[in-house]
Amino acid sequence: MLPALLNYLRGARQTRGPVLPDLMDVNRGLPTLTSSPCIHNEGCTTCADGCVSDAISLSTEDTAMVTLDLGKCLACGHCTHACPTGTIAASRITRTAVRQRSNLVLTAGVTSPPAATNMREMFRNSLVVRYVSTGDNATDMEVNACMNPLFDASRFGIQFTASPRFADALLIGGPVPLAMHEPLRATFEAMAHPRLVIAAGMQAVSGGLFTGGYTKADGVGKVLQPDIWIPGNPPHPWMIIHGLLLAMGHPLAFANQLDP
Amino acid sequence: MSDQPSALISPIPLENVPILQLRARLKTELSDGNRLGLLTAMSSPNGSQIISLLVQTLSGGVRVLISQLPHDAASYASLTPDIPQAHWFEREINDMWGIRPLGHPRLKSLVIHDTYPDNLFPLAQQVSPALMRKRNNRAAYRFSVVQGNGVYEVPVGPVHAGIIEPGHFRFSCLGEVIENLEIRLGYVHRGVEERLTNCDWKAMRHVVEAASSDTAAANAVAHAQAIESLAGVQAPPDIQRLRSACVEIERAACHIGDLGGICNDLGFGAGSAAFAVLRGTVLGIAEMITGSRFMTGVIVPLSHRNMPAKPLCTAAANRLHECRKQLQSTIPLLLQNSSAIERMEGMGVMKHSLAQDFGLVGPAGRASGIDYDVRKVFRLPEYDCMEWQTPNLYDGDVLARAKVRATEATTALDLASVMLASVTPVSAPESVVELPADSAGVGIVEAWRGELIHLILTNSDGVVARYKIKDPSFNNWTALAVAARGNLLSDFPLCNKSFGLSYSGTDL
Amino acid sequence: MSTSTAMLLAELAVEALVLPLLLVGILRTLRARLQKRTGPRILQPFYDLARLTRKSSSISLETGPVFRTAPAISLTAYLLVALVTPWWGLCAPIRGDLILVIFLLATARMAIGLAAMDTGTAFGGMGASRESMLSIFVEPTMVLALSAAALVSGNLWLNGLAKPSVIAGGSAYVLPLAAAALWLAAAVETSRMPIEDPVTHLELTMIHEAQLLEYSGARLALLEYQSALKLTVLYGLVAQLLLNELVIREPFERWVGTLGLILCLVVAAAILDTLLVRLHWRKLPDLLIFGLAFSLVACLLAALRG
Ligand code: SF4
Ligand code: SF4
Repeated sequence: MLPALLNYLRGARQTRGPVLPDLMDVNRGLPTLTSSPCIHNEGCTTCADGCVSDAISLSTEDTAMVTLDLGKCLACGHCTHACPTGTIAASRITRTAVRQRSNLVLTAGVTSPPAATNMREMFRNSLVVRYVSTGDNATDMEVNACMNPLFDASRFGIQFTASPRFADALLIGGPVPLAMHEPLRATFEAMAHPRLVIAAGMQAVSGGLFTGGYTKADGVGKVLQPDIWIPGNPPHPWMIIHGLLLAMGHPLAFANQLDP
Repeated sequence: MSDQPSALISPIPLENVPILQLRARLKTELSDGNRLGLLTAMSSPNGSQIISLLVQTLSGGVRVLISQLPHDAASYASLTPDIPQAHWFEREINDMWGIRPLGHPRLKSLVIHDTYPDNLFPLAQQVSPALMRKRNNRAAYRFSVVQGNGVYEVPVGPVHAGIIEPGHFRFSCLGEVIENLEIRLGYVHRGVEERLTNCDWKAMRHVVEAASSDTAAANAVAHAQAIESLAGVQAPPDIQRLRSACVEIERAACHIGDLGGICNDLGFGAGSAAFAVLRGTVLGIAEMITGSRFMTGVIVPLSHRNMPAKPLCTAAANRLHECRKQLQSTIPLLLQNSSAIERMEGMGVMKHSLAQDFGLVGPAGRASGIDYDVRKVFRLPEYDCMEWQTPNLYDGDVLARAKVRATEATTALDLASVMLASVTPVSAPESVVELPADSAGVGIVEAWRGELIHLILTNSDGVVARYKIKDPSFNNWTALAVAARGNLLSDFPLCNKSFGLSYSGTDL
Repeated sequence: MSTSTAMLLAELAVEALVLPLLLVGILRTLRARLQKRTGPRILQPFYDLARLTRKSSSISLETGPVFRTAPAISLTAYLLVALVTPWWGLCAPIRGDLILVIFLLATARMAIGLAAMDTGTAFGGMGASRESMLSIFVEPTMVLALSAAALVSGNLWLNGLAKPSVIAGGSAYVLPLAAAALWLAAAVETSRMPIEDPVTHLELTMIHEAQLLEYSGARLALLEYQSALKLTVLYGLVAQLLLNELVIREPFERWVGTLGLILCLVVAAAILDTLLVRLHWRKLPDLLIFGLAFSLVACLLAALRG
């Protein structure tokens, strides 16, 4: 025990490196749309054919031939590999959280208007988060990882709490099936105003592959109104931290993000 | 030792057993070195069928027994009185098909909550919007009542305080001591099995990965095996080895994570930090070879998407080796820490005999001296390098589970490192497979929590009629409830963590 | 009111308002560093408090006036303790005796305990019962430890603690023993390891925290500040006992010494919080009985010596 403890104590601090860095090159990342033109008008449907989660829709309109909904994307990597023109390519940015669901829907050449700033000054330096898991335990693990020494969200003033009464933000992972609708609502009701709702991961954003079934697992949006949407399957800890920083209105969240 | 992984031998033998004889038959089979892998039901044109899957733990094979119920029969004689492992399976059959196991000692809902409309049996019928709008008169779930002087109840959940999945725990306590614990699950029932019978087979792999997304790799492997055994084909050995390596990496990452969780529940901040960092390293290696921290989207039937190049595999193997060294110097923080040992010793004891009755699987089972490991029974060739430990007759307490998991994490890193070092990238086309009619396909994997089974049954048109997933946790929840008895309320979280069960894998 | 008293009061106000939160900030940052994390800023508790005071309260309809007033009552009790004890190294502006202090501490505990029961939640009741179980050990320990100190200094006024002139020579182990006992009692009162895990999320394992789960907004802010103040005052008193053992008399030296010792205790708390494994609930009496024994021996020695 003692040698192990000394060894531990001698170790360096593990929180290092830049904040919200891009993912490693080996990571598949999430798809994004580039400026290279799509050739759907020449009959290409490769990306949409292989997308099992209906995240990609194609239309013959010249201006918006391909639309990519990151809120449904499984990050399977099919489209980024298969697109012959590079219109869809992998993106490894972790500043992916947005304040409006529609901003997760990318359309080539179209940028959506900036979201209304409803950020609350009062959370700038301190945010207490209550996490509710609703059926995606990989997201649970990534949320846990946010507080570990490698990511250490606590340095931004983020804390997780056991009681909804203490909480400012309700972070939700998983597709929210029927049996969780009431418990989720009750947790939200127990929180003091002002309060924020954050959907973490594609399952929480859209229900993912479970949507439309008898369990009504259609994502958080059907039960509460999220203020922040985080894509990813599961979202990388940095993406979750970006979502939390965005909720705080933290300056670090506002550079190069997906949200205009 | 057979040189073929037996689970993949196809076709999987199917046998019709009259429902009236099923109970006696299963009883003899189970005393004969077989395990009840799973018990479920299926709809067929002539009425429902009860399906039992037996795992031959001595010779390494699986058999499927099919018992036809008479047309429009909505009940059968419960198996649970003779076969305790059937307890939860029968509750699930009752929920999903409305087939009542008559004489079941404690029949209540398992996954279909009171919030669902009446007469909704999701797998027995096509669920229409009209049905979903129907009025709900379901009887409210009744918890067992423990009577006695001074017994009070502490309800916990469904939303838990920590960052874990939802489930309801109803403790009946006498002072600080837990007299009884009833666990109610089903909060994350997402309709996985219904989805699996109604989707394109290319989408299936993503659905199974989400069934219990912390076990994505093992689920994907079980799915691939099941499809392959159904179609009577096999993936090249290099691909199988790579898959096993992924399962081992997942095992290491999750066990290390939970060891950190145990430290956390002990209030031991240094330990939890050290393990969390290590877990991050292992996930980094997973990311390196698969492009995803949870190894999703690469393990597919017959093939492997984005097969890593040789140098990458070698580099990953080396890093795993490094990581193993770090793990070895970290484990003593917990397992040679006398105050931690004192806390864990004798807590949450699961006796060997009970463990056998409940059919405990995985590390929790091995900590109670159950010598069952899918990897050992089915002898995949890539595990030849592993020296199997003889039954580890531990005490079945929290400490034993922590020890087993620490050992397994270490061997998993070793195994993954050896396997990866010998993977040579091959190209295997992901050709569309024809599924034969009226057959069964089985995938069986030792996931980090234990035996994970995927069973696929096709109908006469060669269409998937039933896809059953049996998560290892399904066998172990009852054990947690039993192990908690007699312990202090404040010890429960630690006990729970040492089992580390999946809620979503159970609820599906 | 003379100018010096006014200055004293002003200084006390600053110290009682700023120091506690600063100490909590330092403790948390240190704890994070020991876990190889960067951790929150040292000023984080101030930000937390600022946020809480701007939030509304969400109160369960089941609760009554006890729940609503308890935070104010318990904070007032602690503020009074801060006013009547020389925890910061100088004489307290108001003279209070040992009995008053014990009464105030009990009032604070009782208010919180009753409020927890008032919520009607299982956790509230559980926390209150656990807390009162521990207080069986903590209260006598505090009474005895402070009595021993009072005996050494010659009167029941706790200000005697800050006037080491009345101590003739060493205290023959009385003060170190009393300090150790008081420190242990402080560890229980401030939910420190190995008695309680101050960062746990697990309601089932909570003792003190379980009583507070239903609070929000400004009331929660009062409680957070109260717990920081509690930490500071109790550590300050431990520091006084140790300083008297060292026979430091100069007011300025005492003041600096107090701050230094409090800081040392905070550092020790951070280290213990990170490296210790929490004790089993059934084993807690085995530890707490030491506190009781120390304080008892200290008391006896002091009585014999006098
Ligand atoms: S990466 Fe996303 S958008 Fe692309 S095919 Fe996969 S699920 Fe669809
Ligand atoms: S985005 Fe790429 S793959 Fe999709 S239609 Fe356009 S060119 Fe084809």
